[in-house]
Amino acid sequence: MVFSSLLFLFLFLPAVLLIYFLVPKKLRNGVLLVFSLFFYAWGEPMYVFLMLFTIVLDFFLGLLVDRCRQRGKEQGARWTVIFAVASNLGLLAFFKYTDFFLGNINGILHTQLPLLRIALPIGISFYTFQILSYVIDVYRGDTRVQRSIVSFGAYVVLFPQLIAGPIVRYQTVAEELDSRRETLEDFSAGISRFMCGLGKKVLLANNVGLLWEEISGLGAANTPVLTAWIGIFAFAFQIYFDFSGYSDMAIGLGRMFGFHFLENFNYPYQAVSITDFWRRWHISLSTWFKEYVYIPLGGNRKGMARQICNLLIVWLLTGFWHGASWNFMLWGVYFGVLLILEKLFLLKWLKNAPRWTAHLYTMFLVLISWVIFAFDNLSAGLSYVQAMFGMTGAGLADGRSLYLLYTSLPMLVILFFASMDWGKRLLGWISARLKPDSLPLALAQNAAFAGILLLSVAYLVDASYNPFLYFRF
Amino acid sequence: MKRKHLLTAAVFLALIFGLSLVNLLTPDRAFSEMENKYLQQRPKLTLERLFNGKFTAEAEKYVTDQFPGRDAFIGVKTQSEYLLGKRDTNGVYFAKDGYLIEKHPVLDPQAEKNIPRLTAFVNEAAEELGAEHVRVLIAPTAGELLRDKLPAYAPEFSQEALFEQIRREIPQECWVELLPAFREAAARGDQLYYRTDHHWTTQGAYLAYVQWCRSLGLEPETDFEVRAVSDAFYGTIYSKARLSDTQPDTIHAYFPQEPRDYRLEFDLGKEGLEGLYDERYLSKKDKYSYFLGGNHAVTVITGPEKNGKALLLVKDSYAHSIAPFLADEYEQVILLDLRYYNGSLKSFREEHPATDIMVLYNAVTFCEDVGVLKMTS
Repeated sequence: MVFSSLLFLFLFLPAVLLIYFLVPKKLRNGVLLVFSLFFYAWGEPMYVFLMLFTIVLDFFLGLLVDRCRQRGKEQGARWTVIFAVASNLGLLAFFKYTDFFLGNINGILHTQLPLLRIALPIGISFYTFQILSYVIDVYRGDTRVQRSIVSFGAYVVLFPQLIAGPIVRYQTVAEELDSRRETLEDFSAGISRFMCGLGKKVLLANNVGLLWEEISGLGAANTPVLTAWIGIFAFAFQIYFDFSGYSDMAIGLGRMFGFHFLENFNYPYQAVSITDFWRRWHISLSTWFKEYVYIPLGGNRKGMARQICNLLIVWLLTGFWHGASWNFMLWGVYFGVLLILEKLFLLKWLKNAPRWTAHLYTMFLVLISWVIFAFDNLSAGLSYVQAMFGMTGAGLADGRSLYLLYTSLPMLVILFFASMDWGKRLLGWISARLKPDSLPLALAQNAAFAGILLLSVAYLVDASYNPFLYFRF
Repeated sequence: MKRKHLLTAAVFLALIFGLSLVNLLTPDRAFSEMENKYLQQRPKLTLERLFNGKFTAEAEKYVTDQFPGRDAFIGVKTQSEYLLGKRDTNGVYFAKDGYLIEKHPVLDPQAEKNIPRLTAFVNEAAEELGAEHVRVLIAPTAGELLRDKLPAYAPEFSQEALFEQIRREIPQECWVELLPAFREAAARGDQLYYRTDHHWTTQGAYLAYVQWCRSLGLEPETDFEVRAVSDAFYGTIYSKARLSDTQPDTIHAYFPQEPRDYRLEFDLGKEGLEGLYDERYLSKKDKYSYFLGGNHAVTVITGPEKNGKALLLVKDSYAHSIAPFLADEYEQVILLDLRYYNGSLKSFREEHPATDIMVLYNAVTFCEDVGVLKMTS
C-alpha cells in the first residue's frame, strides 16, 4: 500500500488511528505491528511470511548477541553478529541482485542460466538496513537489546517508514518504542508534516513527473537542447518532491504516533558543493553508510590513500543499493569520485569562489547525475546527455520545446520556490511577528491543509499517473 | 498554543473520518454515465484472489471508482490544471473556441504494424473483387484539421504524412481523399467535429460520404431534412477534461425526405432494431450511440433496395454516422468492428460474402488499435 492512495487516506489511516488511540498504552505497539503487517501484505501477501521470518530470526539473534556479551563471550557475540549480517544481506542479495548477476554472467560467458524473475519484496532495502543497525548497535553496546518481540516487530515493519524510508536507526527510536508519550502537539505537528508530504507527492511530483515521462519518451534523437534541459529539470524536481514527500509523510505519521524520526532531506538543491548535497539528500542513507561501513573500514583515520579507497567502496555500495543495475553503480561511483576531488582540492576552491558559482557547479553535476540515474540503459543515458549539449542534431529548440516550456513554466516556477527554504523562512518571519496563538494564522494554515487534502483527492480520484518510484530500491 | 493544535487535529480528523464515512454510506454506482464506463464493484475476497493480487488491485480501484463526488473531483482537477497554465490534461488539449481536442503528439508505434496489414488486406480485396469495389477512408481527426484551434506550438503527429504512406501502398482508385475537402469546409466554418467528443459531426460524415460518391462516380443524395436531435451532448473528451465553461454539443441527423424502412441486426441476430437510430441513447450520456445503437462487433443494416449489392464495412465508430448515407446504395451493409470481433476476418468474409468492401477508420484509432492486425487473419 502507498500513502498517496485513497484507500490509505480514507480507510487504512482512519482505522489505525481509531484503534491505536482507543487501546491502552501497552497494546499500542501490537496495534502498530498488526496494521503494519497488513499494510505490508497488501501489495504482495506472500512476502508477509518472509517478513515474519526475518523478524523472529533477528529478534532472537539480537537476544543471543546480548547474552554472549553479558557472559563475556566476545567470540560468540562476534560470530552471531556476523551470521546476522550475512543472513540479512544474503536475503537482500537473493531477492534484489540474483537476476542482475545471472544476467551479467549470461552476457559475458554466453550461458543460458535461467533468471529467477521474482518480485522484489517491497522496502526490503530499507528494512534490511534498519535490522542491521539494530544487531550491530546491540553488539557494539550502543543500544539496549529489545526484549519484546512485538516491539521489535513493530520497529522493523512500522508502516510509516517501511516502504520508502527514512532508514530509522534503532537507537533513534529505542526509547520511544518502549515508552513514548503521544501528545496533542506532536499529533498536530505530525498532521502538518504529513500534509506537506502529501502535497509534494501528489500535487507536485506526480505532475512534473508527467512532463519527464513525455520528454524521456521522445528518444534522444528527437530531443532538442531546450527540451532535454526542461526534461532533466523535471526529473530532478520529480525525484526530489516524490522522495522527500514520502519522507515528510513518514516523519509526520511517526510523529502522530509519538515517534520522532530524524530528518531525511534538507533543501538539497540549495547545496553549495556535492559534499554539501549529500549532507542534505537522503541523510538517513548516508548516515547509515558512514556509521556501518565507512567508519568501520577506518574512515579517514588511516591515511589519504586508504580514505580514498574507503570512499570509493562506500559510494559503489551506495549506488548499488539504489538498484541492481550498472547505471546505479556508475551513479554511485560518479559521486564518489566527485567527493574525493572535493576533499582533495575542489572544496577549497569552492569556498573562495562566489556563492552562485558554487550553486551552479553543484546543480550542474547533480543534474548530470540524474541522467545517469534515470536511464538504466547506459547508452540511452549517454544519448540524453548528448541531447542536452546539442550533439544529436535535433537543434536548439522546436515547437514542442516552446509548448512544453510555456505550458509548464508556472509549475516549474512553483517547484523552484518550493525546493528552496524561502517559504519556510517566510512563515517563520510571519509567525515571529504574530502572537503564538494567533487565530488567523492557525485558520490560514488549516485552510491550506484542507485545500491540499481535497486537491490531492481530486488528483487521486483521476489517478492516471501515480507512480511508486522506489520499487527497485 | 493548545487551541491551535486542537484546531489542526479537529480539521484533519473531520476530513478523513468524514469523507470515509460518506464513502461508506453512499450506495455504490454500477455505471458512470459521465465517463461512459462500468465502475468497480465491491471485490470478492477469496484466498486465491488475495494471493494472486486481484483482490487488492480491485479494492484500490473500488475505492477510487466509488469515491463520493468523483465526477466533481475530476472537474476540480481539470480546472486547477487549466489555472496553472497547462494547456492539456489527461491527453486532451484545451483548444480555442470551446473545443476539447485529443492529444496525440507522436505517431503511435502500433501504426507501423497496422499500415502493412491494412495495405495487404486492401490489395488482396482489390484483386479479388476489383479495385472499383474497394474503398479506403481514413478520416482526419480534429487534431489534424483544427490545428489553428490548438494551443500555440502544440505538438501533433502529422496525419497527412500517414495518409501519404498508406496511399502509396494501395491501388490509387481505392483511396478516397478526404483531407482537401475537409480543410476547405473547415476554412468555410463548417463544424466537422464535435467540440466535446472525438467523433466527426454528421456534417463531417456527410462530407466524407460526398467524397466517397465522387470516387465511385455516384451522385450524392442532397435532399434531406436535417434535424437537431439533441442539444445536450457532452462527449467522451469532456469526460476526461471537465472544464467548467464547456458548452454542450448539438447532434444532427439527416433524414431522407421519403422515409425508408431499415432494419438493424446486432451480433448476428442476438438483437435488432427498426430504423437506423436508437433514440433511447438521446436521454443518456452516450448520445453518439444514437447512430446505429452504438458499438457492436457486427451490425447488419438491411434496406428496402433489392439490388443484390452487399457492402462489408470494416470500421470503427466513425462509421456509425456515415452508414445511414451509405445504406441507400446497398441491399445490405455489414459493419464489422475488429475492436470487438474476435474471429478471423477471412472466415467472416466466407460466411458473409459481400460485393464491395470499405475500410473506414479515423486516423487515431487506425494507428492505435491492435484490432487492425486481424485484417489479415
